[in-house]
Amino acid sequence: MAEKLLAIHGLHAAVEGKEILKGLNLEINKGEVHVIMGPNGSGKSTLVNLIMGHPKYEITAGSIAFEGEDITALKTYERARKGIFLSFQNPEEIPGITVENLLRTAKNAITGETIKIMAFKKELKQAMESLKIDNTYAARHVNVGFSGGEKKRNEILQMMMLNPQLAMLDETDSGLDIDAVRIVSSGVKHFKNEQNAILIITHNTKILEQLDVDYVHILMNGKILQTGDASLISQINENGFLHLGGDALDSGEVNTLHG
Amino acid sequence: MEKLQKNLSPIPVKTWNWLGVNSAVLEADIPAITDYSKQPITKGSEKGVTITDIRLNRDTIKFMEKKMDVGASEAMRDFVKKNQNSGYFIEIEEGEKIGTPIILQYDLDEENPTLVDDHFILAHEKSEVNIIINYTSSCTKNGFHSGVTKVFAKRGAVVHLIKVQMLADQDTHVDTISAITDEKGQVDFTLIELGALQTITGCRTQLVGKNSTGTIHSLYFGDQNRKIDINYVQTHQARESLSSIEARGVLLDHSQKVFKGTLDFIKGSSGSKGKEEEYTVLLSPTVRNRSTPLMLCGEDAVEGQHAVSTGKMDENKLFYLMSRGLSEVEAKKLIIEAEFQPILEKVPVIELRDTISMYLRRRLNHV
Repeated sequence: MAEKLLAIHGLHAAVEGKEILKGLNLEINKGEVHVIMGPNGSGKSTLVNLIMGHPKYEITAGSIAFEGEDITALKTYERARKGIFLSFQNPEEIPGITVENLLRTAKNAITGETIKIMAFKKELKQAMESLKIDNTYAARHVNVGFSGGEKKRNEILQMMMLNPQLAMLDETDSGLDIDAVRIVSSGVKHFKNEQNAILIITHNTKILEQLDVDYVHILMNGKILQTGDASLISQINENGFLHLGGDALDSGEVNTLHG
Repeated sequence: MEKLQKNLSPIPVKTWNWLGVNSAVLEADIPAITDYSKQPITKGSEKGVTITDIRLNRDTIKFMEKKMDVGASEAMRDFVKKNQNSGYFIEIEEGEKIGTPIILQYDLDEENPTLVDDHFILAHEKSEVNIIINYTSSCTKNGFHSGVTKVFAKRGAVVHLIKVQMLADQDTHVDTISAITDEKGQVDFTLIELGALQTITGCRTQLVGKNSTGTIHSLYFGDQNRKIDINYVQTHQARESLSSIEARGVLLDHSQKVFKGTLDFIKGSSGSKGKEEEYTVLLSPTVRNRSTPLMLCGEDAVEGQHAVSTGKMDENKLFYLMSRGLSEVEAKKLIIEAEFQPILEKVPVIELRDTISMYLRRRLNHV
């Protein structure tokens, strides 16, 4: 039987008093690739930010468990150290800290060990080569002066180096040209194994081409409206979200699919 | 014991008293000034530089001093003249570009708990030099430093003076710099104020020569009950002169800071440009942070910019770093170190830069 990694039950959450998630259930096992699609404003980013523990989002009901342990009271860094990773939709610029310094500090924090510098540098060089990131970027300040695509590739670089159990990619493919999407997709494929899992938020199917998607969830109006296999993606691409109906239609929150 | 009750940090133009920025007075008594017996010059002199006791050069520098402003405070100048126990006249020969920084290391200890230093740096035409003056202390109680440094950059000369203050927690630090530039002369100051219980520091540059430049990059760190008073003035006295002031700092616990930054465009300084910027990160609700950016225009055709901003730690940046496994304290430390980095990089000696970074990291442990 597949080992359960993430279990979310009856999750209600609010931002500044406004309810965004309205009873969401989601289970992810090791070795699985999940995709979440949904119109803008449906709560996709809220969900991954909540799993990561952003202080701005408030859980009003329900639970999030990781490897059987309720993590709702844990701080963001404690979740990261348990093996949860978020590739940000809008990665932060951190002037004054180099890519290499951040990665080394993060890796020390997550493994709880002081990593060997030469081995680390070698691993970093390999990961950067596989993502076709110029090696001078290691000495550049995190995301400062990076193009949109470079920021996203830097997120995937961090994912590869930190090797989490659950990687959540929040629109990692948006803003990327077709070649860059292919490179990122190949990086994600390389990362994926039977011991970890990936949760991808996307409006674009290109990133999924190299991956075997196990489940596709349609998130609308704060709830998972429908779950299916990879064939659901092409249905959405053809028909948009409108035909799915549900409460979202009534609330007027439905937009057509981008990309 | 002596009391110095005078205003040691007068603002160029007074404002409302209730703002508390018009003056700064010493809170501690001045201890009896004893000899400073250690040798501060750590490196042998280089070709093109002569370093001699300032007392042997009083006559030489007297006529230059007359041209110069008194710096932040006349009271301080008189005190230093009277009580000086160390000081050098550093002269750079014409056209000499000194590759290795000149380093003066002052370290207060139980035998040398007081330092009153008086320096004069004279850079002749088209010379270049980096000078570092580093103040540290292992005093267990009430170390005291006060000093005056004067800089004269002649035509086309470039002087970069770096002052680093990492005195002990109970020490007092009162420091004044005054500088003057001839045509195309340049004085750059990197001023790092990290230690001492009370710091009163001033830097005043008179851009007397056409096309001359003055810059100040400053960094301060207040925690516990530290009080910091900073008073920088860039006076544009000639046409097409350039100046800038950039200050960055972090305040936490019950620390207090007053920042006064003045760009003064005197009549006749047409075509001059000046800008000043201060950014403070506030980490505790109990800090007291006051900033007074001043711009005085006696001339129409000038450009001046000033900006002061304060902020709490950026929540999204913290979240980003914490999502990479860094605890809140580690993330804050990293952001603060990053904030300081551009100014630390101006310290031209890597070993000193590392020492400052390590000192900061130790201090940041309780953020």
